[in-house]
Order: sequence, then C-alpha cells, then structure tokens
Amino acid sequence: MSSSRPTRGAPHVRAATSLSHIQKTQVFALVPVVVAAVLNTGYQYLLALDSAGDKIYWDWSDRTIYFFGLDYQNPSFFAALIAGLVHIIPILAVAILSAGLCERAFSTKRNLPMQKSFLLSALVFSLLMPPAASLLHVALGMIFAMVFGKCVFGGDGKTFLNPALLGVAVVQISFPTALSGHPLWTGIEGYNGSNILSAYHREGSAALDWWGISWWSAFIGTTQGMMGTTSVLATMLGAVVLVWRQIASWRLIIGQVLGLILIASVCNTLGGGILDMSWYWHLVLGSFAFGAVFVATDPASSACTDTGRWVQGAVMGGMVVMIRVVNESHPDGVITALLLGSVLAPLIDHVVVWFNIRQRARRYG
Amino acid sequence: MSSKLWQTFKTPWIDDNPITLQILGICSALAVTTSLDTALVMAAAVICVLALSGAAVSLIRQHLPRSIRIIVQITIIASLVIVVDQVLKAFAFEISKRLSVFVGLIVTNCIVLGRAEGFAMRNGVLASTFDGIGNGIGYGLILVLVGALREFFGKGSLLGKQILITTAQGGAFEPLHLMLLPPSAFFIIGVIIWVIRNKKPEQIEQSEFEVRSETEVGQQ
Repeated sequence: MSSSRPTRGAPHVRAATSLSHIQKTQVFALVPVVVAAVLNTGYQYLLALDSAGDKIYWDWSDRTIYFFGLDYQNPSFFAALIAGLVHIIPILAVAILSAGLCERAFSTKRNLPMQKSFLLSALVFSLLMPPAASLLHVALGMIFAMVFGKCVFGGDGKTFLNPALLGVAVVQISFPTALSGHPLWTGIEGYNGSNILSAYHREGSAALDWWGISWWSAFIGTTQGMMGTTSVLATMLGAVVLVWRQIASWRLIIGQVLGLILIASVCNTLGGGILDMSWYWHLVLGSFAFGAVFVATDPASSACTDTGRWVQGAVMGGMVVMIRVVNESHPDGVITALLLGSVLAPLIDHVVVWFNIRQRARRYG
Repeated sequence: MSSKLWQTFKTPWIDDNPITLQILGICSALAVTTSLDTALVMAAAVICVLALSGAAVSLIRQHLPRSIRIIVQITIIASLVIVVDQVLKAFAFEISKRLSVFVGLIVTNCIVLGRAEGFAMRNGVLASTFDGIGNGIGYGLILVLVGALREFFGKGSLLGKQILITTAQGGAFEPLHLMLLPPSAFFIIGVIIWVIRNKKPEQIEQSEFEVRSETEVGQQ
C-alpha cells in the first residue's frame, strides 16, 4: 500500500492499490445503502406523519417538510427523497464536521498529511444513527470515535477498533434512551414508532403482524430502524462490490451468517419468546447485515488469518443472537457483538498462528 | 522542613504520582470515583493508612528479619485498614456503605505495600511519614479529579449538590450514562496521563516494541 510520503530507497515503485483507492471503493459500495437510507427514512416519516395526523408537535424538520408542501397522504418518490434528505443531511454534516476538526487538529499537531478516512467513518457512523438522533450526540460520538478510536493510536491501519463502531457504542452507552426512544425512528414527536426487536421481546411473533412487517419488507428495507441498516438488499449490493474488489473478506461475512444461523437454531430448540425467532428473521431485522458487511470487515480491526476470519465471524454472528435473545435492554446486539469480535481478533490470530506452528513442528519434526 | 523532606513530600504529587506514573492503585480509582464525596473519603482513608503504615514499618525496620518482612508489613497495613474501616463505619456510616468493600481493599492497594517495602524499610520515621502522606495526596489528587469529572458529567452534580439541571428534572443537560460506568475512569485517567506526559516528556516510557514505519518495512 502506498503512502503519501516520499520513498526512501530504490526501487521507487508504489503498490497498485492505495488506501484512498480502497476508501473510494468502500464509499462507492455504500451508495446503494445511502440511497435506500434516504428513501426509506423519508417514506417512514411521511407514513408516520399521515397516521399521527394533527397530534404531532412541529419541530424544525417537520416545518421544512411543510415548507416544501409535500403531500404526505400519498407519499411520492420525490416527497420521500426530500423528507429523507432533511433527516440525513444534518446528521451527516455534523458527523463530517466534527470528525474533520479532530483529524485536522491531530494532523496539524503531528505535522502529517490529513487522512481522508474520517469521511468514510463519518458516513458509516451516520448510517448507524436513528433518523432523529440528536445532533449533539452525533457530534460527541464522532469526536470520541476520532480521538480515542483513531488518532491516539496513530491513524489509519493502527486502529484496533473501527472508529465509527466505537462512536456508535459510546453514544449507545452514554445516552441509553438516545438510540431506542420511540419517536426517534421516524423523527416525529408524539408518534409511537418502535424498534421491532424490542417489540418482539415484549409481544413475540405477534409484533411482526402488528407492525405489518413481512420478511420481504424487512429484506427490501421498508421498516423503521437505524437509517442505513434497514435495507438488506442494498447492503448485499454493497457486499458484492466489496468482496469483488477484495476489500472485505467473504470468509468474515459468511462466518457471521453461519454463526448467527447456528446460535439461532440452538435458541429455537430451547424455545419460548424471542428464542423462537428463526435465523432468517435474525438476518433481516436490526442492523446485523449492515454491521456484518461494512463495519466488521474493516481490515485493520479484523482477523488477518483465513481460519481466524471464520472464527471471528462465527463469534460475532453468534454473539448478535445471544445478546438479542438474552438482554432486553440491548434489543439489537450488533454493536456490542462487533466490538467484542474486534477486540478478540488479535487473540484469535495468535491462537491460529500458534496451532499452525505446532502442526508444522509435528509434521517436520 | 528541610528541603530533602519537602522533596520527599512533594515529588509524588505529580512527578512521581502513584497512579499516573507508576500506574498503581487503578482498581480503587475506577471503583470509588463515581461521585466526588466517595473519592474524597477514600483519599483521606488512604492518606491515613499510608502515613501510619510508613511510620510503623520504619520504626521496626531494624528489628525485622528479612524473610518475614512482607508478612509483618501486610499485618501492620491490614490492622490499620481495619481501624480506618471501623472509624468510617462509626462516624460516616452512609459513605462507608457506599464505599462497600473498597476501604477494606486498601490492604491490597499496591501503593501502600509499595511505599512500605520501597521507602519505609530504608528511611527514618519522619521521612517515611511524609512520603506516605505525599503519596496519599498524589493518589487523592487523581481520585478527586476523576471523581469530580465523573459526578459532574454523569449526574450534573458535585458533592451531591445539583449544579446542572438534567433533562429528567426538566432542564437542558443530558447526563452521560457512560461516566457512571467504570470504563469512563479508564478514559479519564488515560487523558490525565496523556496531558501530564505532554507537559513532562521525561515521564514517557521507552516503548517495548517499536512499530516500524512504512518506509522501513519497504526497505527489507
């Protein structure tokens, strides 16, 4: 991988791929997700506006929508687009601004060129936020992510956790109501939206019928949730790009799916409440798919041996189900599971390498 | 006070701080710093134990057989900790309930045994006492700082007195729940160490393993 610094010794040949090229591909892979996020956020918002009627409390975003004179009774493509952009642009702007300021401060202090990866981190972070996330929380989470997740460790390639993931985790832990409060999912005060996973915890599979969620609607992404994580279809498109360009490890992604299927099947045999949720529902609900493809595959914070990738993937996928079924206060266990997986990655690699050395010693004496 | 004694007393405040330089006593620094009052009481308890154990160990250092010195030191420290614990239970029952086992755990605090073994065994009574108090102050400074930050940002209050009105009470300040969890003390102590070592670069440790830069790797 080439750096922006001059080469010291001959031959002065650079690698074909560069970090910025990889990051551009990652952003390109996120395009379908962003499109789905904008459209679905807007669509959900207009639906909720319709059902909430006059009871809603008008905040500035509602007024903006009103200003455009959008017809929320029969939401059109254009109306959903505008309503979605109204929600996503402030969050993205605040995230990019706060991340950029941190990056700028550190690069100036250290006399190094500015690393552009903060843009990618800010994008992933924003997509993992609910549509009505408080901008203060976004700024705090992003600053924490950049300073303690990236800059103190020396920047790109030296992070042991994905900075965006760390930021989301900090917001989630610091403000427990911030990412699970009811009005957050649509951005309308007074509208009682719900995280489908916590509804499932309370009411079992009846919750799915109550909220009118079919497997296909969850797959395509016309449900409420963190902005970027509702559409599994868009995530799969991104996954194809990342795996084809060899940026994400397919072993890590498939490993997570297999781990999830395994633990979900074990839970099914135990039975009762959310334990009965079958694996194909676990795949499409919550932010599992997005996390598995765009967050877990961060090369710096995931295992770097092939066996290690299988193991780490399985651990993360299994943990997602474990946290979902056991801990009601973390209805969507993805963030915590991915953090755990990233922390375990060096240990897994170490064990894999140790086994390999021992095996070769046995074989060759 | 002679200048040497003053040095013994003052160095552990920042230059040789038990928490930020020696990285000792971290466990209690995480556990008792959710609010300022527990941090203050804990600091006072540790100062008492350090001063008295330093004096006691220093008094009997000439008569102590080498082979059993650690046992004797631990016995002295444990007795002092029990006394402090009982005093707290008698006169500040509420606080002692909130501190729970952590006063008793001063016995296992590395700072206390470290000063007894490292300083009091080789120095006079007066110097050992001042060293104990100095180290206790160094420990207490960090504890109070962390405790104040955690209580302020975690609950919006200081010493139990509400300063910022939280959203739950109808105000504008949203408390950071993270600050009430032990990991936040790690972050705060980390930042304090970062700031101190920036001001005093001589405290920076030699790294055990140098990360090679990209250009160095490329040359091989």
